Formats: sequence, structure tokens, C-alpha cells
Amino acid sequence: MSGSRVLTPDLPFDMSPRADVAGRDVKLQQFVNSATQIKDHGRVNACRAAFGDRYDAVRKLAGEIKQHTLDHLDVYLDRFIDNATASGALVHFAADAAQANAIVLGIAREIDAKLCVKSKSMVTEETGLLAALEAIGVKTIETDLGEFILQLDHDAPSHIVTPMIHKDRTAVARAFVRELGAPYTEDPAELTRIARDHMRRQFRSADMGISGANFLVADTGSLVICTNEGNADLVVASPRVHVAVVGIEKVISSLEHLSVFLKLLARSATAQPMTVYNTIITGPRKPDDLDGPQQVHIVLVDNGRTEILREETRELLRCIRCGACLNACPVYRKVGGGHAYGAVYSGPIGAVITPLFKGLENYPDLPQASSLCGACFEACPVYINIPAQLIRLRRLLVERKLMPGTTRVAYRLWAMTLRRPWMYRASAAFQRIVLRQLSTSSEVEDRAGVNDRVSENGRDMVSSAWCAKLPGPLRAWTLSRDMPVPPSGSFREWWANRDRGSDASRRAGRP
Amino acid sequence: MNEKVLASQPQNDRLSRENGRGCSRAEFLQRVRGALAVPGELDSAGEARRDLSLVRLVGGDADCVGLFIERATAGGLCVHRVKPNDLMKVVVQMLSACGARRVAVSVPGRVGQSLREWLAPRGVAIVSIEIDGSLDAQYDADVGITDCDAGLAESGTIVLRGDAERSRGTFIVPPIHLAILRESQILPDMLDYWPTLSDCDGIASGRDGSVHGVTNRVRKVPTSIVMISGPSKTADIEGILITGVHGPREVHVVLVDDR
Repeated sequence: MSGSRVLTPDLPFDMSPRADVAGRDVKLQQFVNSATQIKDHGRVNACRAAFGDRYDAVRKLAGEIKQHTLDHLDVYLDRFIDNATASGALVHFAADAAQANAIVLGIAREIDAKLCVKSKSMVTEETGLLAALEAIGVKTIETDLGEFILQLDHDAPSHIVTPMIHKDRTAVARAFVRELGAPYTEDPAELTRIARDHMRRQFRSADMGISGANFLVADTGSLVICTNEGNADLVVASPRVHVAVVGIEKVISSLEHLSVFLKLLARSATAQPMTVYNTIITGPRKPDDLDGPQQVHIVLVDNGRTEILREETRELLRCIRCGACLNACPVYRKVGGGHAYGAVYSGPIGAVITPLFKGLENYPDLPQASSLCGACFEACPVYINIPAQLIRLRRLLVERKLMPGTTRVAYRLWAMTLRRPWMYRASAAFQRIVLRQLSTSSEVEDRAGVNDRVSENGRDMVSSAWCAKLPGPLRAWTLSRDMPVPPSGSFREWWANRDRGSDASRRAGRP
Repeated sequence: MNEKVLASQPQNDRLSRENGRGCSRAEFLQRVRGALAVPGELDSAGEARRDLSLVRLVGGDADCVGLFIERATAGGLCVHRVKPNDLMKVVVQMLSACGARRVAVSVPGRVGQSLREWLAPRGVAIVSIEIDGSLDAQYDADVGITDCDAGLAESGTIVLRGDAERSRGTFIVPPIHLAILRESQILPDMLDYWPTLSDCDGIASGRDGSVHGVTNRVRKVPTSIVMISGPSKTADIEGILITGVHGPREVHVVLVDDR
């Protein structure tokens, strides 16, 4: 599958085939599992070490600051535009992806760009800017090492922070031999050096640099870009024109507030106290500056953000793209990383914002791709209640009748049964009889000892046998797990007996 | 109000509209206002006074130099403490130790002057960084030498600026970066750095200034501020940490004891 199609699949998107494939890929499971668990533990340790008991209060503070900015986004955007313009930057406005790409292509044509170096920008992934630039003959190099390798290998990123979490060194080695004519080596240090040498030549001759921004500071009109590799520092200083493509939700009010986010971002993303390079850029090269680009363009992009800005979903725009919720999520791990989500943003945050960006009817599986365990909420440095937002979307799925027909019928029957005690008792008895029937068949594995427990009155209340294969539509359940065989009596019966039993023992024990 | 807002950026709006590429500033902000529906009362002054002490990691009474050295080292910076009189000697020793033939120097003032005087007779060429505003010459340098604007004890971070006397390439283009920092420049926390940037009246305080009659005080910032907390790092290949991917593989901080 070509890289771009991985994140822009045919709609409506069906998640299960990808999740199934990933679920059977042992190597992928191991990679993603260990990479995310290491990062998740690292984050907890780094945040606790720095903030101790204040950690939750700090997350709430960061959330409040960003929420305040979003609540008054018109004012802060206005202020940012004024101050950025005063610093000499040219600010452009894109309502959607097509406008954003058209603006950047227009700049590229105006300056007659031939070669463009690019650092990470999630917005340009949304808009498909690279393909648009290639189409008009502007060669564009992704310079983040992970993104560079993915670009060479025609693959797509699978994690916001560590884009090639799904790839191993042999894949890199093969791509370098094939695309760069490099000698085969699996040594990560040597592979990195090959990439550095290759990209250095590009940086030196590039005439345009494209970046995103992690934050926009309203008070000063500054762009803030955070990278560990330092590629963005070359992107924004080496070519003669710098274009930053940024979503409107990145605005914060002041440099003081920036400290709060810089302290949280690196710890949440990679367990570092601080990102290696935090770069604050205010306008193009001034008349007496030694160097820097002659032009700085800032393309402010909406592309669906004003929809999410509505009150009920506004908190989602607080996201600072640290990827902590991805690392914390058991589902993200199990489906083998981001590709299973079929969109630019994956993991828990992607499961919420993708349906909002692209339409719930196009991504009905994503809000269900969560166990609602709450690990993402706990990991979020800006205190976004992702589980609540997932539940909200699930409610919308039902209201808009976007659930599959069989599911809807099943839930209607379930509701009907729950409302009528006699029906509930009858169906439970029926299930017990049928399942116990199956447990005597040859398809049942007896795993005595696993679950054995004996109730007070000597009756075996918890089954020790399992159904390994159920008939009909229930087969889907037993394909990946066994079904415990129910006990012979119901809980209600047991409870009634238990009461009688204990009454009897009480009477016997006490005169 | 919108007329006033538009007037501050006529050139850009014309640019966008003429080429039929984007939308106008007014349209764009209207989309945002539409989504906000009923914007609440904005207490901008209150927001500016928000208590951030919760995120302070190092207080003024801490051993900032000690913390800086400990945390910078943990982040992968090599810290070398020197007496003021030994500065040139140590720098020259370090340059010869790594076999530097060509260096880029972004150090203004007296220290920069003495660096040039010390390096010239020792066969170390200084690449010219003052050509046509490009970083081109620095791609051939073995070492980049810069001064610092500040050090942050909180995270062992050095803060650099790019301006009329400091190139924006010297810390990132050569494979080795040597930064000169004075102990008196070390601040406890990042929160303490912003007040060192001089205040100036808000260039454009937007609607807020006119509505509440509060002049928005903003910081005068140089074109570029970079906070560096280690050598250039990546862990993109199987999570294995490699330094020197794009920027320098080694960053040395020569810490001058000036207290």
C-alpha cells in the first residue's frame, strides 16, 4: 500500500482488517508494545520526578491556560497576527486544505523554488502538501530522520512523535541501499550518518524551508518549534524563505505561558526534561541581523478546527501533540500503532478528532477503538477528558443510526430483555443451558483449577471449563478468546440459597 | 473595529485575495467568532497575572551552578569550568584536541576579539559568517563557537540568540558546538529568563487594548532565541539514541567562573 493511502483510505473506513493483520504480526506487536511501554513509564517517572504531587495540578493549569486561549481564540489570533505582521512576517489565512496548499504553492512559484527542505508539520500531513509540491516540480525533502526514511520507503507515519515506530533497522538499511545507493549496514549510527550526509547537501542548496510550529505566541508574534534533531533549526535558517504551516489552535498568549508547555511537552513525549532544541522565531531577518531567511510566511490553517472549536468539543484543541495518550493506550498497542486508525492522527486523540475532522459517518469504528480505561486522560498533559469525548461520539453514532443494523437489533433486544425480569430470567436460563450443553461437547477444553471456586454450600458456582468455539455469530468472540462456561444456577438463585444457608449457620452457631 | 484590524495588514490581504489562494483576515476571524458563539468576558490582564509558580522547578535559593552542571551533563552537554583568565587557553586546547582547522565564531565584543587574536597565529582559520546572510560558509567549519544569553539550572539548558552579531547557524551547522557561558548568567528556572528580555510597549495590542484600556506590555525579542538542552539527538531507528543527526554530535559548554 502506498504511503499516502495508508492515512487517506477509502471511506467509510473499516478498521478491523488492519487491526486483524497487525494483531497477527508478532514482530510488530513486540516493537510497538515495548516502544510505547518504555515511553509511557518514562513519562510517568519524568513528570513525577519534576512535579511530584503537583503533577495533576500542573496538568490542570496547562489545560486551563490553553482553554482560556481557545475560549477567546478570536482575540488571541488577532493579536498574534498583528504582532507577527509587525515583526515582518507575512501572515496568510487558509480556511481549508486546498487553500493552505494553494498558498504554499503560490509562494513556491513566486520565489521560483526548486528544492524545499521540510521539518515535521502535522497540518501539512492533513493537507497533503508534499504531493502538491511534487506535482508542480518542487522537490521536497522531509528532514526529520523518521519522516525522511518513511518518505524514501513510500510509507506513512504511525506515531505523532516517533513516526516510524512500526519499522525496524533492516527496513531502513534496505531503503537506503535502494534509494540512496548506500552500502548495506544495519548499524543505526552508520545509517544516521548516511542520512545526515545526504540531507546536508539538500539543506545547503534548498531555497525554501517548510515547518510547522508547536506554539504561536500572541504577545510577540513568535513561532515556537521544538525538535530533538535540530532539523527545524536548519529548515528555518538555511534557505532564503521560510514558510510555517500552522493550525490556529497553537496560539498561546505569552512567553511566560510558553514555559508551562515546554516543561510538559518533552516530559510527556519522550521523558526528557526539555526538548533539545526549543526555537523561538520572530519574523524574518532584520536589516542588521547577520543571517536568517529574507521572508517568513505564516500560513494559519483552519481545515475543520473551527468545527471542533464549538463548545462541546473545544477541549480537544488543547492538544499539544505530545503523543502520550498513544503510548498509554492498550488499543493503540494492540492494533500495531497508528496505521490501523487510517488517518493522520491516531491513538486515543485521533479516535476522537478524526471523526470530527472527517465525519463520523466516515470513521464509525474509531470511537469504538477504546476500552475506555482512562489511561489517555491520565497521561494527557493538558487534561483533555478523551474518554468522555469518545462516549459523546458513541452516543452520536447511536443517535445518527450509524451503528450496523445487527448491532442495533442486538441492543434493542437487550434493552427489551432488561426491562422485563421474566424475560431476563428466561434468556439467562436459556444461555446457561445452551452453553453448558456446548461445554460437554468435544470443542470444550477443560482447564480445571484455573477458576475453581466453591461456594459456601458446596455448589460449584464458578465454571472451570471453557468453550473454545461458539456457533453462528458468536464465533467471532471465540476466534480470539475462550468463553467461560456458565455455572448451572443463576446468581439470583445462589444469592437466595446463600442467604438461607448463612441464616441456617447463624442459627446453628449462635444459641 | 474590523477596518482598523484590516488596515494593519492590507498588503497581506491583497496578496491572498489577488491570487485567489486563501481567505481574508476578516473572513478567517469571522469563522472563529462564529464557532465561539458567545465569547465570554476576556480578562486579559488577569490572564497575564496568572500564577505560574506551580511549574517552577528551581527556586532562587538553590545552588544554580551545581544544578546546571548536573542537569546539563545528564542531557549530554559537556561542561568545562574555567577561571576567566584561562578561558582562551582552554578553548584553544579544546580546538586542538578535536583537530579543528576551521571554526565559525559568533561571539561579539571583547571575548570574540580575543578569540580571533588567539586563533589566527595557531593555524585555525575563522570562516566568514558575514556573507550575504546565508549559512553557506559554516557548512565547512569543524567547530562553531558561540556565547550564550543565559543558562537555565532547571534543565541544564543554554539559551542562545541570533541577531546582528550572532549567526543563526553557528550552533547547528558545524559538527561540534562550543558555547561560552558565564556562571552569573545561570538562572534558576525558565520562568526567570523572560524578564531578562527588555520590555517594550505592545506593538499592536489588538482589541484588548482598546476595550479594557490596558496597554499590553510585551517583550522585545530578538529574531531568534534557541534553548539547547543537549547534542542533536534521534531515537527514530528502533528507539536507539544517536547523537549528531542534524546538528552537532558534541556540545561543549565552557563555564566561566565570574562570580
